[in-house]
Amino acid sequence: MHLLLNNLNDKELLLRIRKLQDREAAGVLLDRYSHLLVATSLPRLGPEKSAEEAFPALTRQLFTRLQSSYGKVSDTIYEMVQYYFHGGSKSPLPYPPSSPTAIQRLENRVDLAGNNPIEKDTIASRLEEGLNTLQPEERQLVTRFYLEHQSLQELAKAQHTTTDKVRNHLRQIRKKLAAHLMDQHL
Amino acid sequence: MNNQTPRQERILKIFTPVRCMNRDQLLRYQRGQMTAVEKHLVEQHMVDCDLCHHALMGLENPKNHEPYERLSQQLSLFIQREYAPPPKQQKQQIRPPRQVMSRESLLSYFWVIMFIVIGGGSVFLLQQHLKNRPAFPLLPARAAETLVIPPAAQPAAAITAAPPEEKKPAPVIQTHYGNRDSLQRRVAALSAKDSALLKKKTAKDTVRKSVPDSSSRVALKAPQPPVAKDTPKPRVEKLAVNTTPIQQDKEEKAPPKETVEKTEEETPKATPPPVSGEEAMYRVAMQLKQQGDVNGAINQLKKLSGNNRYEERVKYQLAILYRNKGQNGKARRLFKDVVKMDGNLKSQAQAELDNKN
Repeated sequence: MHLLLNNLNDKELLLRIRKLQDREAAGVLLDRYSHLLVATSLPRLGPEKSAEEAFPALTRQLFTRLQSSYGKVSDTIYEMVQYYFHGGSKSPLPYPPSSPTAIQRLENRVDLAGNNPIEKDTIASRLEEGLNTLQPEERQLVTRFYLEHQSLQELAKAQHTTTDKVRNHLRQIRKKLAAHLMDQHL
Repeated sequence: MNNQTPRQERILKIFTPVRCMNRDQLLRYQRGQMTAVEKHLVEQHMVDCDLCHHALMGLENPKNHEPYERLSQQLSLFIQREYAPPPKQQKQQIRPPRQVMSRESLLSYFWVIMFIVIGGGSVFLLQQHLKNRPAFPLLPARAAETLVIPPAAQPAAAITAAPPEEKKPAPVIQTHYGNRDSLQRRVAALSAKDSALLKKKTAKDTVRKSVPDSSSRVALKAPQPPVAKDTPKPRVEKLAVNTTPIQQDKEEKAPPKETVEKTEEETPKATPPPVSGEEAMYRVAMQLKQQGDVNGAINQLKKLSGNNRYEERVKYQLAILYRNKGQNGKARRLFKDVVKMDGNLKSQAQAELDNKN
């Protein structure tokens, strides 16, 4: 059973956790992201919150959270880590968004297009139109990263900035583009 | 680089979802051991995934590499142990075999006993039903063929000089369904008839030898012994009525010592009286009428409709039955026939016709 669950993707495992209260599926999903959880939490561990008490508590809270989660698992885990190490008990855990964001909708549509050439052509033409609405430097950055496959380090070097700033810039352009396409009822 | 693909394909990569990095990819990216294509895919994902981005930032410090591997392995084992599937409950599968055996054996005994009781009871009820089967429902269909006409004419001409123990039993109309041992009685009657015939032959021979021919005429008209008179047979009474008073006197004066008598040769020895059978059929019809079986009674009476002796009564009864059945046309016609016949039932038929009108 464990091997079969390992072959399921995140959406299917989340569905099993939500519908069937499948604890084993939750274990598979948490194990899939445990290394990222450790790597993210590692700089924040200290004498107040040691690894022995932080990770069991985090996994318990994550299991509870995943039973009502619809978005990306990585976003849920990151929110939980931020809440556990920074928010604590001072502020309540924010509710997960009930509807997917514009980026998630667009990603789902591209994922579902698969090998359908008509759908892919439609999305691509709309993306071209959306790119034309961006500012020239934004369009250039997107073109270099996604179309010319330049790395973040190369782009940071060219712009004399850090990779984090280039990443954040690209992230904002992506959100802007997705919001524009959603407004166009793509 | 993967720049050979058309622009249309590449532009879709802006929103193509990419999975998070696994354990191997995380370390290889940190160590710079990835190919350009794989590195670009990871970076595409990192633009949108905060978790992977902060995980890489956390591993930028080489001091964290060793605790990362140790803690990630421990956390993986903890999750596998904590979220393992619950062990199967084997207690429910194991049952105490002794209780099960005793329960099953008791159930099997109970059902065997029940089967035997029900089977025996049904057989007993069937036997009782066959024993006490009602006689009449089968009677009308087979009445004509089941009638056994007794040798009523024989005793009239029988020579009753024989001792009293040779008396023949009174002739009774026998049916197959009259009672249970009707067959036995019929066999007994037949055997008695044979024995009477044999004795009669021997008596005839002795009379012919002893009595002269001149007195045979007188002897023929000699009175019958009181034993023969007492028999309730109608034929016998008829014969007695036909005899003249002188003969009756002779009969009375006849000495009881006379032991041999001879019946007339002209008496219908072999012809069975049709009257008794028809009368029985008429009685059966009346019984059916009393029981409410109108159609059976009508069928029975129709069989008698050709007989002149019963014609008036038959038509009258048929008319009543048709009237009860609601067939007034037939009833009226039959009543008129009865009136035309001008018999004993004329007044009653006329009264019925008047009531109809």
